[in-house]
Amino acid sequence: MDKNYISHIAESKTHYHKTSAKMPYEEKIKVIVKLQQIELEMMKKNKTRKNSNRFRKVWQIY
Amino acid sequence: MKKTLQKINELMDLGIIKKYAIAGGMAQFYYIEPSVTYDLDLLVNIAEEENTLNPFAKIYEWAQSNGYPPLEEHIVIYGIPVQFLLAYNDLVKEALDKSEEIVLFDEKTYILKPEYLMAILLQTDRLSDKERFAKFLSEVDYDNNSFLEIIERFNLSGVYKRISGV
Repeated sequence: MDKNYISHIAESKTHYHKTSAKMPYEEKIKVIVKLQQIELEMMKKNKTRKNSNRFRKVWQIY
Repeated sequence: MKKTLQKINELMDLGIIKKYAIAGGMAQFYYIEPSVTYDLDLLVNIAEEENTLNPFAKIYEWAQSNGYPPLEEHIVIYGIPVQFLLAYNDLVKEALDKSEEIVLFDEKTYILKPEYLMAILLQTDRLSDKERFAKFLSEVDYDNNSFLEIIERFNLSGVYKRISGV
């Protein structure tokens, strides 16, 4: 495997995460709610995943 | 979230809490890339501290009178489970004291500074905390001198060296 290729991917990912960190908080809240929907859907489909907390619900804020 | 923050600010206006700051994951995500979380942690100074057996009694009374249901250790305020936490040690007390006033959704609110969140992550030192701490190192323009001074005073330099390999 080309080392430049791997380091390029790593750099690209780092840049992506840094950019995501800088997005406005209001936008981050939208991302969090979307992630809640995705995670709870995955939990429903995958019985090996635990969901012991009753407060794990998608925020009804929009 | 705007309405949730408005109601939390109302607790201060009513004198039920003296001071609060957003803490935990929702504070961390103010600075780092967001990931999934389901609750909003608030560090609070309670006005009526003499009620040591049930320091949150007034908050629960307020919640009940406003129709906000309790859910496990949370109170659901406009769709968001909010957990009220007392500042449980000196580091967390100082973090709350030095929290920053910000505006979110056009509402004034308060949030822990990144240097304190990082120190608290070192102090709690769970696997997930290490992961979050690493994100602070790579994604946040924090004040390194301030961070080093805090972890020195709270004897966390060793944990920092172990985690970061410095």
